[in-house]
Amino acid sequence: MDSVSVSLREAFGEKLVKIGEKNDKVIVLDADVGASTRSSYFRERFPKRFLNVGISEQDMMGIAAGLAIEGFIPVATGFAMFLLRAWEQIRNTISRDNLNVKIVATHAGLSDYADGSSHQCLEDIALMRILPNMNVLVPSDSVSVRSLLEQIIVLKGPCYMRIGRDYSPKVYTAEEDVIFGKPNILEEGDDVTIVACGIMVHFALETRRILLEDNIRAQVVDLHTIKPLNKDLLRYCERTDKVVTFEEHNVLGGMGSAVCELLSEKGFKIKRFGIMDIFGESSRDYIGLLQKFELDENSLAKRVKSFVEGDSIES
Amino acid sequence: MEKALNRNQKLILSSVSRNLNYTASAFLRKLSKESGIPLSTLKLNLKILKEEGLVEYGRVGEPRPIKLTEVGKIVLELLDYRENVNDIGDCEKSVLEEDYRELLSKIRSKIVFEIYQAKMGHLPSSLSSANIIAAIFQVFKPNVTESKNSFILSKGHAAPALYAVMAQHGILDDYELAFLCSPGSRLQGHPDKRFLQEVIVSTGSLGQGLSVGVGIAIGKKLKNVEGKVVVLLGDGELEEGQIWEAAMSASANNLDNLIAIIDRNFYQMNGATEEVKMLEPLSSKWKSFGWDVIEVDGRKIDELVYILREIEKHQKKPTAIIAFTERNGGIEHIDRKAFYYIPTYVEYVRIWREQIG
Repeated sequence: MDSVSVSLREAFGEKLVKIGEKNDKVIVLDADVGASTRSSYFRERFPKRFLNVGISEQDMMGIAAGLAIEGFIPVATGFAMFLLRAWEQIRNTISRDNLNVKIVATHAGLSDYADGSSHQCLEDIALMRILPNMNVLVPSDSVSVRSLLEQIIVLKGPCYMRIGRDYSPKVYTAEEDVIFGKPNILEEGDDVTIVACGIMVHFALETRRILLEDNIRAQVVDLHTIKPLNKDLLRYCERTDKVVTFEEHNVLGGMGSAVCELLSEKGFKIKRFGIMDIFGESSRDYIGLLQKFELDENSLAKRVKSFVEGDSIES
Repeated sequence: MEKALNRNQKLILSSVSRNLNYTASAFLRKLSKESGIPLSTLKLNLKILKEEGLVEYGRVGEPRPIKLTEVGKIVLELLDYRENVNDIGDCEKSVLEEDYRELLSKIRSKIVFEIYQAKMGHLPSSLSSANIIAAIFQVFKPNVTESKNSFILSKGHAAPALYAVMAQHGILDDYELAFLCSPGSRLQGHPDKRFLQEVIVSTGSLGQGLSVGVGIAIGKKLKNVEGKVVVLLGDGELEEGQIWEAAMSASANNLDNLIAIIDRNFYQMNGATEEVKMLEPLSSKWKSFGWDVIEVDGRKIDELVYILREIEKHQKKPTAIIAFTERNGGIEHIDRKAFYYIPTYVEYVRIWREQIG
């Protein structure tokens, strides 16, 4: 399928090498999952600037903090789920001291479909966006992974970038189209605004296509930068009185919650679609799992339609 | 709020103590004449001192002689010390223990002063770490812009000891020691870089400082620069698993520029370390993690200074110094079993007098 671009982690691993070629301050840290996150490409190219600290995420965050204090730009990588065990280290050292550490979390959401709920991280957006100083990004495809990675490296301050494992239908063609902090209107529409992040941007576009068959015109916004939250989003949402959010994350505290916080004073009708406060589970394929949680385009189109038509309340 | 005293305020404080039985306005006129400083300048500064609770005087229609408050006397006493103490500077190994004893007394007095003023703070633990921090600053002069060495107080609750040593080295103004834990003060309950740049990394959550030290030590090696990274750990803190993750990282990366000092006072918050969770055999634990280990009498600052100088010259591996200390710093009035202890005024004065002689 040519609509499927390079896998997210491949894009990350390759781009990291390119960044390393230009910027010798970049040091990559790994908690022994480099082969899976593709940070291994960096190790092959720059062994001296690559540090596998072993299976010890808390130590990794502390070391990253120390390297940032010494003026380096550490990129701490690992599975989203297991980086969270170092949340307090991130909070108390990196975020509190506003240190220039870039955290790139792979295998987020349900993308690690086979490994099951121990590995499926549905809480990280919430936990990261409540940290002062922290920038939170969820790129929607491999083009935006490359673009945003390049941009956060030169941004001063701590960043958390969340990416899935592989599945990555193309959303963008040019890296210049993805600008840190700027929500992207991908499709115009008057009936409902779909705000999405990560892989759900693709599903938002697909949902829009299906809704058009019922003459529902949806505006689609890619909110790749969840923090800082750009207030322009409010203006974009004002074009429709109804707003829905799509995220591969618990509906509590995530991107949808961030959008609600921004829109809450303006009397919008908003509905959040995501994981309904439960844990994930194993599946032999990714799409099957998204279907199970009603986050595929057909389920989403049905859910959005009933919300727009206002004739039913979901359980 | 600016916590440092300016020159005029210091002048006023010391003059008040020498000029008894003057009303405020008479005092100011006299001082202005003697010093040549405009009356209005002195008046403004006196008002600030009164607002800070350092001096007291009457009002119009209700004249009372100007005098120092209790706090004012203590602050002045501290200021006088600073002025009178010869800069300790580089002490050779041959310096007598007595000289360090005097230094230590001053630092301890400052710690007691901070905690007495704040009515809060971990006094016993601060006293137990005072010698170690003093020795580290004596040898490495860390964390100031011109220094190549770094120091992390991983046991952040000993912050009052760190502040006292910083004041002794002129990084903080002694006057600031009166404001531990008060809003706007640089002296936060645990070292906080947002308020005080010279702590280089904020601490307070146990078990995290050694990893940051490993990161800094690796950074120095990558940059090919000299300098030591010293991390002070509590013994109870060693129960945190992250310490041992960091210990492995240090030896895996051959960090011969990293020194961990363990304040071995045998107590943690809720009791004796060996009862809560046995740490012994501690020395062999560190050895088995690939560290060089040195045991030292942490009550003797000259021994600590000597050992640190030796390590500075001859370090081959990450090095752990197990410094045997007493949690009350040997001050008998203070219960070494207590993790949190606020001296009463009587105790405070007694400790103060004993320490400063």
